[in-house]
Amino acid sequence: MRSETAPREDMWSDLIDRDLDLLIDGKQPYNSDLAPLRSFVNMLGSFGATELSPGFPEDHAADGAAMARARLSDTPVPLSTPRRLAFGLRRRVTAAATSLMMIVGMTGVAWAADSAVPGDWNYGLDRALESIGIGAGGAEERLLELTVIRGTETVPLDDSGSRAESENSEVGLDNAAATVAATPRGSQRADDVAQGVSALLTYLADTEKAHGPTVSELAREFKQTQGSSGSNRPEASPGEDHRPDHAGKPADVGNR
Amino acid sequence: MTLGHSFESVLEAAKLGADWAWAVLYGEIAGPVTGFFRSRGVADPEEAAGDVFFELARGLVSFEGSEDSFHTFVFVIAYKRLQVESRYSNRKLRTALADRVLDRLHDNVEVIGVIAEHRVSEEVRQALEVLTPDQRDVLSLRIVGGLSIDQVAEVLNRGVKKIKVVQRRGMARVRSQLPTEAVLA
Repeated sequence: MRSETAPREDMWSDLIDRDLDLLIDGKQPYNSDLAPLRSFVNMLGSFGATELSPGFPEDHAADGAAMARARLSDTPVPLSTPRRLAFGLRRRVTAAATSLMMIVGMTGVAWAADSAVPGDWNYGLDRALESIGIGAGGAEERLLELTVIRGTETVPLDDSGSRAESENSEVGLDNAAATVAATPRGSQRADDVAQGVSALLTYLADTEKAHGPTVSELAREFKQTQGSSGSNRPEASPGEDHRPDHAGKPADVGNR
Repeated sequence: MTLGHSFESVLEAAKLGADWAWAVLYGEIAGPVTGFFRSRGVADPEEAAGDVFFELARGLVSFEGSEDSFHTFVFVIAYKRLQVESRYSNRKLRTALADRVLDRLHDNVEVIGVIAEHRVSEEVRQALEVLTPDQRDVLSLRIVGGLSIDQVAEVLNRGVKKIKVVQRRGMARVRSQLPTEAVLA
């Protein structure tokens, strides 16, 4: 519903519009309040009065005439100005194609690296990409890597979202302990496993607030154990129970 | 400057491929079109204007209308070209526009005189920075392009009332940056 003052406001607006038109046309507005805007109008208007480069737009005029004649005679005509695609599209199409190729290439490399496990040539790239937010990363991927390293499907993974990541972290710690204990030492595979477990523990210690102290302790113990070249660690045999105790700590990892 | 009654004959000659006619047409619009791009901070205004001329040369054969319609036709192309520039350019047009104004203040004696008279150099720069994109479109087309409200409405594909409101608010914003107590309604 319009107010009673609406007609007056409309009239005032019309007066302002008329004065603005006068101002833009270089004439004197009736409303003296608008006078200071003249400097703004003059300045903005001066953009259209700038001196043009020599030959501009004469070269384009020659092209336009040639195109018109060619259209009449139905024959193509070469242009003196380098434009074959509208609005310089050739340059932009080239740039877009190059960008697309780079994106596809980088996506392919990132996809290939995402499935890398410790010991693979592109594992470092995988971690670097994760650190900048490319690729899944997180405890979930560390657990997957451990599963691959062990060659068994002992780490339960649940993508339904119903289970908290912290539960997977607990399971991952259990399996990490079991993995370290069950892997024969002195081999490349053992080094890979150690590296993977170390990465897992370090990651969890840095990111899992709920398990921070426990995981930090485990990480410290694990690194101490690795540093002592394994001489004081018990050799594990397949089938031996290496599950952690109820405190969530591995029962047979390190020199406890 | 307009061609007036001679526009129709110039247009027909241009369609037939007369060099002189194209020179007249381009001479008529080169300044406003280049100035429009310059005022909007386009990196190479003459290149952008050249693109407009090329599109114009392709489309002129099918154009029918008055000189005003011709100018509208030209700025429809120019505005599309500006949108392409905005889409693909990383430059910030608002800043570029303000920079151009500052350049003008230093280079153009006449403008310096006007500004000095009102002591508004810094205020004008600030005024340009506070304009919305819509307001810059309308004011650039109106003041630099020399188009009427109706023509601007056609170029921007908006209603005449809307263009008037945008112009009024844009000018009010500029006015609010200038040093006196009075402010536009």
